[in-house]
Amino acid sequence: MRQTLTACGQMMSLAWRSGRGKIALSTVLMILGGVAWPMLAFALREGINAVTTHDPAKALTAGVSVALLVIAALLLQHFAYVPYAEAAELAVVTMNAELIELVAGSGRLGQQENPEYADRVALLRKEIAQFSDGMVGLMAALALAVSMVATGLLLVSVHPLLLLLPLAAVPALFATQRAQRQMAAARDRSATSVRQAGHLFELATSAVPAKELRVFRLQTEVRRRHLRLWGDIGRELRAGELRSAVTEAAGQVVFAVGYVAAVLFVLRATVAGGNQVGDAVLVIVLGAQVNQQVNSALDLLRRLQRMAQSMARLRGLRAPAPVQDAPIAVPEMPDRIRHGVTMRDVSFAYPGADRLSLADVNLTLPAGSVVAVVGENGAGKTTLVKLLCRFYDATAGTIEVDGVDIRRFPVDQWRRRVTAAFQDFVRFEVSAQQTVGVGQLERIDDREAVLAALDRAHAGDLTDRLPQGLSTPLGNSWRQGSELSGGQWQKLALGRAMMRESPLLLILDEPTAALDAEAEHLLFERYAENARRVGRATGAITVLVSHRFSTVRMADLILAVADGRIAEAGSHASLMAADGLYAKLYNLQAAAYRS
Amino acid sequence: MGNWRQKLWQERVEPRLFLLTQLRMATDALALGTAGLNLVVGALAGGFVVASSVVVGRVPAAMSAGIGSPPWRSLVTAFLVASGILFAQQILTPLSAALGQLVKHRVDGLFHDRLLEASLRSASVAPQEDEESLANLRLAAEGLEKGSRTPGDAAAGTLALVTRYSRLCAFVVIIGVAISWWAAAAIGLVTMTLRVGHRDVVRTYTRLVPVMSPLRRESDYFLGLGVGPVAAKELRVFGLTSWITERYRSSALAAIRPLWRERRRVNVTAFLWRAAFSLAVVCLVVALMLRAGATGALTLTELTIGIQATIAAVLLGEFYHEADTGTQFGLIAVRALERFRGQVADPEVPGGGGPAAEAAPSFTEIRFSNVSFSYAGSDRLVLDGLDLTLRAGECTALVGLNGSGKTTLVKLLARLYEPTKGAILIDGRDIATLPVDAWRRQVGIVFQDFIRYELSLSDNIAFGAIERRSDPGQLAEMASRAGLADIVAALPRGLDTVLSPHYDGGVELSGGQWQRLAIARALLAVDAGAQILVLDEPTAALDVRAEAAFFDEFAERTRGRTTLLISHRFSSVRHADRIVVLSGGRVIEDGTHESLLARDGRYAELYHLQASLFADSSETEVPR
Repeated sequence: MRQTLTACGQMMSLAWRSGRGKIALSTVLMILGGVAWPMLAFALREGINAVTTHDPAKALTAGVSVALLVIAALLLQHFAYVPYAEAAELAVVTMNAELIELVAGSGRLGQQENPEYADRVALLRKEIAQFSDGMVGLMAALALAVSMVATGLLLVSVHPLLLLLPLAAVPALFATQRAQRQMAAARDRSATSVRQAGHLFELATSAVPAKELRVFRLQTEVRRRHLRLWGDIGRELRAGELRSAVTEAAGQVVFAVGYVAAVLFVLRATVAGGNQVGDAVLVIVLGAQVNQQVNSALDLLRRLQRMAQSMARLRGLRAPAPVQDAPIAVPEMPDRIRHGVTMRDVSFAYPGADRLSLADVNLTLPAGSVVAVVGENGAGKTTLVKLLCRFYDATAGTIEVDGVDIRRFPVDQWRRRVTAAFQDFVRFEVSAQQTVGVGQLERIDDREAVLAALDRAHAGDLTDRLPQGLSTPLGNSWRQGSELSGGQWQKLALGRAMMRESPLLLILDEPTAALDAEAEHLLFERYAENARRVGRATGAITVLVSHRFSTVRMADLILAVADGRIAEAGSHASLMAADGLYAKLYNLQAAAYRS
Repeated sequence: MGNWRQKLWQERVEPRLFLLTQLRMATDALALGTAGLNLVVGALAGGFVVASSVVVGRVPAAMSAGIGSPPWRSLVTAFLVASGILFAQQILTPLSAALGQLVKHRVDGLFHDRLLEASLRSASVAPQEDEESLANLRLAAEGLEKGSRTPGDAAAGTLALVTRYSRLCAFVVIIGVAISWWAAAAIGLVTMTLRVGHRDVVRTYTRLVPVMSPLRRESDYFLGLGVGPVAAKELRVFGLTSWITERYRSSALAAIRPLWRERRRVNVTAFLWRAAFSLAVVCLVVALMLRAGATGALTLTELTIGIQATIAAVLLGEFYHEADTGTQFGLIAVRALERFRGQVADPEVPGGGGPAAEAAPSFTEIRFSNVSFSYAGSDRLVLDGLDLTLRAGECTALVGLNGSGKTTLVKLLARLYEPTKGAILIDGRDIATLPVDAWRRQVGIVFQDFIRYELSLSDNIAFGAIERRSDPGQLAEMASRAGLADIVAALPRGLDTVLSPHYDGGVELSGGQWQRLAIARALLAVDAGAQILVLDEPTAALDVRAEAAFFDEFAERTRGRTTLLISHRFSSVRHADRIVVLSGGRVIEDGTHESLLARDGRYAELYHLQASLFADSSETEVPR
């Protein structure tokens, strides 16, 4: 309950910050709307009493009040919706922006590769999108609270015992809850069928599976299965709906008994002379509302509790991630690497994993060299790269640049000197200019810089094929967007990596997987050239992950990784001579081309 | 005037009729029964107003006569009647809601099936690959998938409207009888004025959807990029967080603007006059009634009836959450389906003749004779006078750069499209003259983007030849032929294991395992009589070791089958009996690996390029 109240306060203050005037206006309108309801019953009582006492003037006043209150009860909340919905929409934008900062703002990957974390973020995104609904609930709760208090006061004014009427609504409340549980149980029982029906339905109405469903003549089968599943769902639903309707009706009958008793009680008291006729009307009109009030109070409470949980989740995400202690004395980022990058006894396990992804790695990447990393899937190639990018810090051991622990450099400074292209590159669906330009934000709109980067990535011809050159919007999310092939996207991602002209570390993590043989060959020549150019100037190191041995063999240093350890290190020639893991993998692939 | 009438028809009448005819509500016993029940529920509300007012009206007489007197007893009688009506209402209302849900389920089932039928009925996949018709198909499907705002909601909403409007009718009639028909008409008008306003609100939102969704899409895109795992690495390497945040913020704010403008107009401006009009009318009616009561022109009973009915009627001028969204948005999917069906209107598939026209049990060759093809709406010829003969029992490999027409060729072979020009002949007979399904029985295909069925492992295989699904022995055999024996053995439920972690006891397979499963599916088709096996990049998801193993095994197992292999790895292609090089939609080279190398053409060039990278380092010095 306290959590709920705190969350309500938070929501209010978020909305308040997004639009003070809007929230103030809505609040006033909602409160007036809430109080209009019970006041309507009150005005009605006055009107009837005026009639029974034959007082036309008073009757007229009461009549006008009734009319005003009816319209107020009907429309004030309707009008109030507009300003608070606007405030809520602004708050959603603020919260989402905050979410981006929270998730992506930390320099590290931390939890982000953990599927559970991804689920949490996805859930949060959904919940933030529902903030507007939450706001509707909160405002309705405000109006309801006012309304309930006023109703209670009016009932007491007729007779204190009438305060028992809300008690009659309690069994109805339990019945409603029970009915909801019954429905939930019915839905649970058919959850598997629902999921499977949904899957078949999606297959049958999507583009890609259309081919296969036809080739294997599955049209009838899919329809038949879907119908059967739908029928199964229907049976569960029918049983659940009827059961819950009976439960609900039973609860409603119990309330009706209480209501009838209350009305009878007031009628008796009136006839016995204790009350006026108007009181009977008041109880008839107002009493019927009590049930609804109690029911919606519970509904709203639940809604607010759910909202409270998501607010708590948002806070949980905001709880500071364990950040590495600030470096004691920040050394200047070197502008060149003189000797190399050294890993000393480096071990690493992903957060929450027991298994070491890297164990006791000791190696030196010499300044100015091209280093290739090979190994089977899961051997630890990508982990090695992630440590160099400082997405994670080593669990044990140190990584040093010319003897300085890289953790002593602030992450963003380090990143300014690192550039990378990954196999799972991003398709930034912006203009071609920007999709490359984001590789160096300061020059995002610099045409020359982008053209030069594309040229370095051997993708200079790509722009000629785009309808509006570099200004072409990319991606099929947009109506005017041009969709590119996988290979074209990859070239743009490479261009992005080439935006920085003097990185200390150039990381290429299987960047040519989407390209065909010819393109890969031409591209790699460019790589080598660029790597050497950069290497000469700054001692920069190129790290290339690949399982195309044709590409790997031209590296200065090849690291063969197996089970999180460096199994072998050396040049192509020396590793072939050693006839170990590398030679085995190389020969396997090369054999296919030998006659 | 004509314009006004047309608008009234288009916006308010036609959708209702469309709903009634499309949803088959008028002939459905459940729907009719529910409508009847809802009429009763509506009438009961009127009955309660009358009965409870009679109770109030008898109070003064009972007051003067005292408890136990005849007037008191007649008061109690009226009270019991009112209570009875109340109890009936309390019992029937939940029942009516439950029935509404059942109608929703039934109508949605009808529409799901109708959509499946429409989506699956064309022999060609053109409707699924054409952007415009696909958009309609997806719009219809998403409407149903979400589960809210479906055609079923429109149906249930319509039934809920029956309750609401029968209530309104009851109140208006009561006012007319008890007070005056003028007052009744005025109050009815007030309620409907407000209702029209509320319907205008939802209608405006419907109109806004196409305006806002591209704007929303943009902000959703940047938000997804910012918080999703896809871009996590690059956002950090390139320091893009604030850039993404800003792009999100500006596009989100841009998306809000048209919404605000319209909402203020339709929710506030347009409602102010409605509110003023309603206030004036209600003021007049209620004040006049009360004054008439005070002067004795109306009895207390009549007055109470009048006032209660007036208030209840005016309060019906609200937004009906149980009806208004459903009836407004539930039809979007239905309309999209109608448009899609219009676009599919496939001419009868050529050669869809009798089942007698079975394909020959065996054949000697399949010939692509001068085949040209271009996709609808594009004038680029993907295939351009292609001539190619596939000989029975041979493994033919198809190579070519991206966009050379390989995949299109496969689609034509499977009759997912018909050639624009030319024909595909099996032993001289045009395959277009065969019934589509009979022809497809001859073809087993592993597509590059094969389906991952979230069904049992056995279903995943059986879907290669559905008539064989009841033979578990054979399914297990296919699984082991595709190299899945170990995996099947390791699964707790063996072949019955569902291949999705979302199911009880379900598991997720790796990419390579899924690919083997797709191959098992095609092998079953072959086993069931398919004579042509097509493999479109079958090893794309496999690593070096697995790829080499695959070809060793697979070549063995498909020996003697007519096989068409598509790959751009020359290491796999060279094992084929025959290699065909496609370029620009034509065959430019055709021969064995050796003969093509000897010819020293395009194939030799591409092959050497890949192979040279593996030549001994002593021969090719890496440039430094």
